[in-house]
Amino acid sequence: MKTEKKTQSVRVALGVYLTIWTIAVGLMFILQIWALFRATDIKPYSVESVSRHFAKVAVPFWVWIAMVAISGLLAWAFPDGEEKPKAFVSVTKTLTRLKGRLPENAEGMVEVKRENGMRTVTWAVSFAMCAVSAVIAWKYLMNKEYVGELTSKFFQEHVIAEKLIKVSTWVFASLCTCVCALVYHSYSLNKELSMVKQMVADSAKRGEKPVVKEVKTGRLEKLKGRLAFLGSDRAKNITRIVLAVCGAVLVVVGIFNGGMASILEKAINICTQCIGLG
Amino acid sequence: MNKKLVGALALVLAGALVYYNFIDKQTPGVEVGDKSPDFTVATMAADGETFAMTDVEYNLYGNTGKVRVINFWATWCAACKHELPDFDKFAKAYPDVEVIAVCGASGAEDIVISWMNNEKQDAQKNGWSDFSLIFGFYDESKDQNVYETMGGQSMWPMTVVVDENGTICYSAEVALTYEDLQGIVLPLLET
Amino acid sequence: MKKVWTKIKNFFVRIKPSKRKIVQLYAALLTNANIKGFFNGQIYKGATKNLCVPGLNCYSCPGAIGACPLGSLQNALMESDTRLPAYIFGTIILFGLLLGRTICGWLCPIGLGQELLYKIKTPKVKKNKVTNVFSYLKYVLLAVLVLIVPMIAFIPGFCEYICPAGTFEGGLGLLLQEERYATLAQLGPLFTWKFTVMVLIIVGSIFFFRFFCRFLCPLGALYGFFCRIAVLGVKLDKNKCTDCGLCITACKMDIKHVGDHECIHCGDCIKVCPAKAISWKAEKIFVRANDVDAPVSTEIKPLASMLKGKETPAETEGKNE
Repeated sequence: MKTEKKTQSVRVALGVYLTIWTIAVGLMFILQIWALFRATDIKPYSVESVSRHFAKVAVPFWVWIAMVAISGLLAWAFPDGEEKPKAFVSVTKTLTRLKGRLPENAEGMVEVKRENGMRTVTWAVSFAMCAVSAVIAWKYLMNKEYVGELTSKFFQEHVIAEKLIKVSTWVFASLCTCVCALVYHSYSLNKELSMVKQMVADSAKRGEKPVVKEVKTGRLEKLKGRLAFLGSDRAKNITRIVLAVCGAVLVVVGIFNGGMASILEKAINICTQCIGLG
Repeated sequence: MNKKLVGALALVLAGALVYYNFIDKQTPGVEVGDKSPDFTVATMAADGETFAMTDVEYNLYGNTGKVRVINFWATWCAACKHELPDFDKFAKAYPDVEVIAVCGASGAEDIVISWMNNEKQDAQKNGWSDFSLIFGFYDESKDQNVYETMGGQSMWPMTVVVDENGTICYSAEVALTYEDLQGIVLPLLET
Repeated sequence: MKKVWTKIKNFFVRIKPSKRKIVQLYAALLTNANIKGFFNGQIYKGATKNLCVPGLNCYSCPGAIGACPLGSLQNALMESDTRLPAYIFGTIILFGLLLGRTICGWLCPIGLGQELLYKIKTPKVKKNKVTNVFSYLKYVLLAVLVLIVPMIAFIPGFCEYICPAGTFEGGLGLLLQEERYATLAQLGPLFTWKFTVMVLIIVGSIFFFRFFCRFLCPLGALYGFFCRIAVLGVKLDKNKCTDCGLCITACKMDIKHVGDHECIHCGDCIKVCPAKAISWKAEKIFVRANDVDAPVSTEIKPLASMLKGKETPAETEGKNE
């Protein structure tokens, strides 16, 4: 037991040191390449300056390699048990099940509906944010006259890069909005689950029998029935055959209209800027 | 069945490794110090405001006695297109040097001509002088691959400098500026 | 003595790579079979570069023997006003249809690189709501950098600004050569940016499982569209599924259910499912010998009596008695 604990604490310590060292070495590489770039204004890369700047990172890098090797050996010699995955039940499914047992006008259903509404509003807001970002991004990208306020000394002639920077700020903002929406969604679902559980418990206390909801066969159900065909095996096989034929036809068309030769040409002749050496 | 499949796959890998590393050898091209091979390309010139293919062909050894700067470019290569105005400026500043920009394309010359017409319209904005470059053109799918003949391996753009005697003095697959060209070519003019 | 031997044997059994790892190594080696290119600093220029490899592998890599599907897609879109990009569309449809994101899990060299980096023993960042949302970033990159930018700016946006495969295989592969030092002279701001992105992706892959695949790879996003109709992959039998959710917690990708557009069909969930509801699609094509039920004979007849007309010694004895 004692050796187990000792190995565990050594493992944890090594893990923490390795994390810090990895991030440090990564940052050092990034800092050195920027220092190298700033060293002279035009054409800073030469054998001499590259070796000079990266020599500074050499020692920390090799120390990092040694730490990786040591921690790898330790893990092989003293393997830790694999974590068992924990089962979890989907909150949405539990909610549907429990709500199905309550009558429509049960006590507290108003609050439940309000939670539902709040969630819908949150998602509508994030969707709106994403739509707005998409429209703005489209306008930036498609606008031929837009050159950008960024004095593009860094990317020089890459006008498109300035547009992309503007677009990426909007994309990042939308992603953050969606993260907040997802966090709220999860919190709200759990709140609703506790409310519904309380309602079911109360209703059981009062001796009410669980309601059995009858299956509606209205137009919505009929439409759902028809749409279910789309997920069936038969539909999948039809799609597969159609796509396979389309794919084969497109490849043949491509061979004859010069598409394949063009791919060969681009794969053989490298435009150095196109792979990032510029 | 599994063993047969594994065996077949291993054979494919072994065959590929042997083929690519030992059988499919790539021959090295001409290098600095060698005598430059000859080539002929079609040319295009601006007749007024529009570019078109001319009947005149350019032959490397057709005009010996001059230092020749041969630049290889293509419409799909942004760095190539970007350095062309600098070559134009150099051609205008040093009329003793023959500067030709050869465009390697696979397919018709329409794309090249329409790009060059666009450049003529935005000449000022893009830094062109007066289009005193010789514009060469060859079609990779039909004509001789001049880029490979002149020692090009894979990177674009490429610039080759050939002196009066036909010896290759400089050959590199890099993008060059006006100052770089001065540094490479002017020493040759002095000798 | 026997204990030591057993320990050594157990060690080798433990470090034996899984089947999927072996397939990944095989695919990485096959797509980069031109090893001589690393020594002479030149890329392969032969005929196999007419074909695209299924995974992400930059065609500027000295070892590459085929074209990169993503690079080819961007180049084809750059010329789409004069030539229909039929060939690359057809190739991607066929790859997606046959393999889907199985390519990500089994055939992509970059995926292999990330998994090997993830093996470094640091504490890891588990998937959470943030990673769930950010897994949609790759669709944005697909739309903007791979589809729109080549058509409006005539440059391969993803290859030029983000792809770490290009920086690592092409950049470092071509730059670390004596004769190629002339190429160092043309590096500038773009290379500085891409190198930074590459270092961030490498460090990210050490802490996040398949950082590039989950958040940035447009090829994975593209193949993800074929998730329902791909012929090979992982499938869930809905009749056996008890909704316990073990598969989703065991999976290291941001899936919502098994086999969706995030699933790379690695098969880790198959071992975990208590109801044995997850299996490989097209399993019947690759039948293993011990899976087949042999018919059990109820009659046991001595071999001799099966020969025509002959009686067994026992029968002869019986007759005689």
